[in-house]
Amino acid sequence: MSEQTLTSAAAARGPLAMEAISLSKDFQIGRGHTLHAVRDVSFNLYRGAVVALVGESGSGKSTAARLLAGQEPLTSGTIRLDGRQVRVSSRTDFRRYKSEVQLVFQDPFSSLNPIHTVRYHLERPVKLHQRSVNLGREVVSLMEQVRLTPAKQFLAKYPHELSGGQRQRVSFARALAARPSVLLADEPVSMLDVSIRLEMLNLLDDLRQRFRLAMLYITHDIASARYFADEILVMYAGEIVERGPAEEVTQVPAHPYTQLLVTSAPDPDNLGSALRGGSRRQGPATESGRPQNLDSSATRGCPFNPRCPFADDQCRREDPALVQISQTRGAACWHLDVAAPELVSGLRGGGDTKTK
Amino acid sequence: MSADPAAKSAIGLAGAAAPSSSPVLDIRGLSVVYRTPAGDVRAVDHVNLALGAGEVVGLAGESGSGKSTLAYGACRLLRAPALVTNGSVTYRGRRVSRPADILKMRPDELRRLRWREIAIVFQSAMNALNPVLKVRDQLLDAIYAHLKVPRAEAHSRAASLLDLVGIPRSRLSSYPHELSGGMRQRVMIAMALAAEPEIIIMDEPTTALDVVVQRDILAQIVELKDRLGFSILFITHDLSLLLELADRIAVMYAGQFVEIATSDEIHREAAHPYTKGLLNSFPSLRGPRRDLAGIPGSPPDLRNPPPGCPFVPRCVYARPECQDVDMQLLPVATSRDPDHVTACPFVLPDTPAPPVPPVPSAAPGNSAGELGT
Repeated sequence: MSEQTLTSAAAARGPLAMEAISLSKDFQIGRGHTLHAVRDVSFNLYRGAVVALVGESGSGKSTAARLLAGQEPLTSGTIRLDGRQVRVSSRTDFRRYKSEVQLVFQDPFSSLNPIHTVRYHLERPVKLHQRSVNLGREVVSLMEQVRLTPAKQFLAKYPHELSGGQRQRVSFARALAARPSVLLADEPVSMLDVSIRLEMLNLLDDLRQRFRLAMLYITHDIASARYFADEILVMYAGEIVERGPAEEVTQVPAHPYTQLLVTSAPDPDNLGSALRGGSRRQGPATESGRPQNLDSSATRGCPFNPRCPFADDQCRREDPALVQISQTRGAACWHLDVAAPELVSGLRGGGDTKTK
Repeated sequence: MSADPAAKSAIGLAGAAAPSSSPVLDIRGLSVVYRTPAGDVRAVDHVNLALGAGEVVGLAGESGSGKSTLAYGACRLLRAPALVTNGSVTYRGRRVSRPADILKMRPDELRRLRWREIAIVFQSAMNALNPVLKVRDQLLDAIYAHLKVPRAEAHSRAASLLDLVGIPRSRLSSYPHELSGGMRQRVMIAMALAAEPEIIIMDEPTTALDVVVQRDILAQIVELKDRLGFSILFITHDLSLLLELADRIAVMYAGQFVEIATSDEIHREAAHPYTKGLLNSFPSLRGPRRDLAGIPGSPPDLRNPPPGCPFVPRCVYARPECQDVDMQLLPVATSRDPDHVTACPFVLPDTPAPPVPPVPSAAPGNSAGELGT
């Protein structure tokens, strides 16, 4: 597969931290039914860089994060951390792994324990992962890192006494307490008010720089991925259907699904367009509301073919592999010449022509 | 607050009554408080808002700004400790003989008003639908409760309602858990349409949904609105959505309106610093990629609102005189929209932003910056 020769757009930022190689995860549902939540997904995380995993609910993006966090056993594939294959078999191994790889959840309302104070939430990971530090000072310093100040005022508070943004700051501080090298952020801002989302994204960006975190940013909001990430991976029905530098993927999307995502995002500059004035929708989608089908019996062909305006018999028969568009970009589509002619003209046969 | 409430609402009216014909819903001087042992929380403070026939008015603001309280208060859907302390809500429907004040209605009048004249689509379709009843029974429930129709007609109506929102009729025998999130929200919209209301209040109807599904549902709502001619009061914290969807936008902060104008004006010529902040809060997919700040800080405690403009602590334009601002909505002189009003007397659309104060750098002088080796 040409995927192996692609260079990640995030690679320039720093050294390789984590490699996900052909990860797959199946869930058995009911009798004899298999749900392929994640299929043959590969990507790399680099220190100081943000890779965004973008897709709709059910696309497998959270499952991918849980696989990387060691919370689910892999069906197949390999995870490497700093070049060494990860095998989490014992509790000690798991703890050591967790001190390198931390996960931040979407919902700050349910990811904090309502009966414990902020101090408890932060002291526990410090005690577990860093034995030799001054506990009190470390906790205060963590709170300052996430700008939960004055720290003294917040230490004795319970989650219900904090706003959504403050709770999410506690979640960030808790993840940093282990001094990780990799931070997996699963929709870290989508439960928050629009007005504070950016503040939190900017905070994450600041933490990324300061601690040179290798970050995986999972989101359904492709506009925030453009703002925040170096590389974007678009997931659909468990597969990566497009990948490339954030700016290129959002400005000239190649895969029909990415095109649908981009045209669906609210666009304030598009006043009086699709929604106001007319009832006609634009964009390539004909039945865009239909969710993806992850059942094994329906996995013939490209997973997007039932919703794709360009689908033909080949798409219904065979699942396309990732086609390399440029050094850093690829898309899994049989008909890139129709879907994104401006990207692939002159690419025929070669496969490594730069399009810029 | 120093301003006389009566004077304030009189002035506010000029800006609120934008539609040329008499509005379907006219909210004047509405105040809602939440009674708590620690004192009244002034959730909605003397607001005026008019909704014209066939108009889509967007109500934007953060959580806790009072936008839902305003809508529910206007429909008398709040219960203790919430208390409507002031105001009038005049409803002028095509099917009612003369205008009536919803806040003065008797229970039987209210029952006739609800659903038939004003329907609501709630945010969380997951919780608003009954998990143990089939879609058909829930639709029938709504139909029987508000319309006197024979059984056969009710059934055919339930089926045609699903047609309206693009759900196959076979789904009538589904339970809510068998439907996707988008489908559930469509069922909620179908239920709201059951009695062909004049006004539909939508309280964050698409917030929990994916962008693609969200767009489909919004397109459907607009299409139904054009076909059936109802008005929409659309509540959301996502201003970018409103810019595309609404005719007019009312921006709410700490229980008061800070700016009202057409969507185009808000997009092009936002005057109030809070609106500017909201506009600066979402990254755009198009145009140059730039650094954005959002609105740091959090809304004030409404038990004890500070004097003057409540936005001062978070405002980049703040100056000493802001303490004396009485939050009257005054026309924006330079605006192309004659009904464009703002509560900020100092900042105009073209006022340059002051230099951004340096972001408080975390933990000066601590050594934790070397983490993660």
